[in-house]
Amino acid sequence: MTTPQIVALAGNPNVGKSTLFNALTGARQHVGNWPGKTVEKVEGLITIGDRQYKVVDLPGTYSLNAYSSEEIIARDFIINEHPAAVVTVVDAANLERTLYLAVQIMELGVPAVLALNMADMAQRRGIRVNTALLAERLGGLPIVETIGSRGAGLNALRQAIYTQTNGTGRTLPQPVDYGQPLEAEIAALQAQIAADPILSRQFRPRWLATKLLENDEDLHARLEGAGYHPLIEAAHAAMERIAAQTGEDAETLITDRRYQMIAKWLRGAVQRPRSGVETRSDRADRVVTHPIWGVPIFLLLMWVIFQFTANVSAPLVDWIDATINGPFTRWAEALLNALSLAETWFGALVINGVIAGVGGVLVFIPVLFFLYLAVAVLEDSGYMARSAFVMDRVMRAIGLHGKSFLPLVVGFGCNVPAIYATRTLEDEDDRKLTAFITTFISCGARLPVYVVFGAAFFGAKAGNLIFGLYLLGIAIALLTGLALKRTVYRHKPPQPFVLELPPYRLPTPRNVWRQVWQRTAQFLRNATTIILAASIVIWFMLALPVRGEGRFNDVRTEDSLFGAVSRTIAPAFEPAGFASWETAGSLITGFVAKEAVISTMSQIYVQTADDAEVAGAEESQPAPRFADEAQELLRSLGEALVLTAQETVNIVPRTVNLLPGVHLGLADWLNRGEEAEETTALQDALIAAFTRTTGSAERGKLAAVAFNVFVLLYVPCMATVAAMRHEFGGRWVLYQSSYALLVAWLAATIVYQGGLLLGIG
Amino acid sequence: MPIMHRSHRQHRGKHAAAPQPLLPLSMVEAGQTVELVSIGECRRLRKRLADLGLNVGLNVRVVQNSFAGPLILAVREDARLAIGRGMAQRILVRLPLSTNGHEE
Repeated sequence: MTTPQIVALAGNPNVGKSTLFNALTGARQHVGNWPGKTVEKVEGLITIGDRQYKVVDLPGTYSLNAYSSEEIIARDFIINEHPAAVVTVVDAANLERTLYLAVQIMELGVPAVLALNMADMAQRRGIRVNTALLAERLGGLPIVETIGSRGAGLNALRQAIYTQTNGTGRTLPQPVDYGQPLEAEIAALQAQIAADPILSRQFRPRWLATKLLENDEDLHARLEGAGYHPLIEAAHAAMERIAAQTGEDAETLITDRRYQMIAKWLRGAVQRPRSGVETRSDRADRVVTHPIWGVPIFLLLMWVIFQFTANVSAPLVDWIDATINGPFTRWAEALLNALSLAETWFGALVINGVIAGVGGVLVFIPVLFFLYLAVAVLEDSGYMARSAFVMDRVMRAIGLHGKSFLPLVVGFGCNVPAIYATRTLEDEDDRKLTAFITTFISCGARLPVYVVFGAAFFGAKAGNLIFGLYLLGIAIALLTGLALKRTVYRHKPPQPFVLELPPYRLPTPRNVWRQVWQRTAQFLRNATTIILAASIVIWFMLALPVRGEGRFNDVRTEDSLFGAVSRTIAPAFEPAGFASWETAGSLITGFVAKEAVISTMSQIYVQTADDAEVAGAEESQPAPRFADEAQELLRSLGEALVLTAQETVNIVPRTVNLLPGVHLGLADWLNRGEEAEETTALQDALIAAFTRTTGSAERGKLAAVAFNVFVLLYVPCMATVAAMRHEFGGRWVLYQSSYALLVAWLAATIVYQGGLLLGIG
Repeated sequence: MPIMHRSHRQHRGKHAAAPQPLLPLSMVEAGQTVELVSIGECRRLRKRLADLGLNVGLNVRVVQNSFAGPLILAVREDARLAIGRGMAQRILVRLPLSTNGHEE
């Protein structure tokens, strides 16, 4: 089969473009990012008749003016990739406004198809479009009525694409008539462009002439850079003549003229009931975007999302964790045994490096699944736009965008979904700024560290330490945000707040599911490599002896490369009071996952006891049979699903309990035996160790606080790093991690030294 | 809409010579339809608003204005745009002479 022809799908945000794209391409899709951008790129393959097409979903834009990265992507794609046809998706109920983009695409001179989408909603509101008349006025352009959510009109759309990509049968769109004096100036510039062989090959001369008169900054800069100074001069002279003749600047005239043309085309072709009536969405907005009620409604929804990512996902996370560490590891061991590799270093690498690493990725699936589910529902329903509206004032006061709130809230559960939640922000700089500060929000994995230390050093007052650490994280995040606004983003003009509020809609399960699935799968593809690599590196460090009589894969932690590295970096923590190789080492594994700080410490400090316990537990039982194990796996999955449902139901009492003086019991369908954690041995060891390092019990306590501050702030865990690298690139991650490390060190040092100055210890 | 009619009756018949007072968009009450007269000095902002369907000479209806925070406008048929208060203060509007808020 020949290479597929390219068909681009363009349209405003909120016209149901992605839904139509999904309906058109079905399951054969590829999701990625546009090169060098944080904007999602989705492609799908379709076959129409005897031809194959690659359909590319362009980012949703209102125009092709190159003011945002989305607009530049859409425009460059059409200019550089020469798609065989561009389908412009417009809202059948909002033709006057959504045709504005369609006009600009037609001006590019590519074969076009117009899809009047959401035709059902237009019809329900009494809007009648005479497509035949409209098509005739647009010079025979194919116009198709579609309902993306129900897959209606797809055959007609396919037929139109087929016709428009057929060399002889296609209709090219009519140019817009800009009237005098614009047309004369366009013609003059056009001639100048057409005379240049390079320019006229790259651009359609009439389009370029119009864009130059429109004072398009991006094109002016590009042409100026490529040495087309005379052409730019000519354009400026033409703009001045137009302004002198008409008293208006050329770009305003061009914009006005496009809207006038649209109005002319639509006159008589669209019948609609008198507008100005209050719609159902308006009525809902009177409550949802109310200056007072809007905020509690928003906070409530954020709380529910947080519950989903933190509590509802927890049973499945535990199940995956238990499955990987239990049956799956045992099966792998059995397999390695059969191959007589179990006792070799390779066997240990597979079990402790690879499987543990893969497990570290898989546990994020439920978390991301529930985040994406909540985000997709909020986005599809139209609420996400309102959230920016409601929070704009509050967040602007601290230099952030209204939509920055969601990632920060999600960050309390886990920073990984928080990084991905920044995708709801349109502006790339806003996204980067939000992601940058998100890692200071204390995630759920850091809590076990605070709990163990709090219990060891503060006993009943552990709550104060924990609460203080959470507050510190929030404060550092906000201060960092303000500092970045004043420095890195100082020259960025304040983004004007303009936002379309789409009508409220019921999200379609198919669409929501597809988004959730695509995004979760994308995380897996991108995070697996880095997490696996880091796990293997740490395993090697632990297995490699550098002193003593240990052999490879049989060495005390202290004598391994890991121990050596820990000892090397330990002195750096001298000013913060916790300069021992044990603490330094636990911080290294803490990069794999923050809760690993505790498991490493218990391994190092109470190694002997721990080893004996594990060994005893393993050997006292005969290895379970495969069938029993598989059955048990299903049973525990069922249990996890029941618990997930239970946690979902529990959102209601948990939410009601937020009201002062109310206490509802939580649903408890399955009795989960609370694991009584044997931490006392570790706690005693911690107190002893910190006292030993610092010289006194009081100082040890201070160093413990400093250590917790460091754990809160230092480099986010590697899954977060993987997410950030995927979204913003390696260099950016390096900046963020270096900054976080520096802030953590400074804060821990200030706590310890400040405490000493205040006379503690 | 009814409020608007009343306040304008006095101007009718005086031809277009009687200039309507200009006021910032941020001062317009919900339910009123006004004509956009000028959209500040910033080119980028003007263009961005035009892309979203807001350009000079257009009639828009204020759907929500709580006199704090952003406003909601009905623009070109049924689209709803939220715009920040700061921006709305720089956009000058006029209550139109015509009783038909939708004439071009």
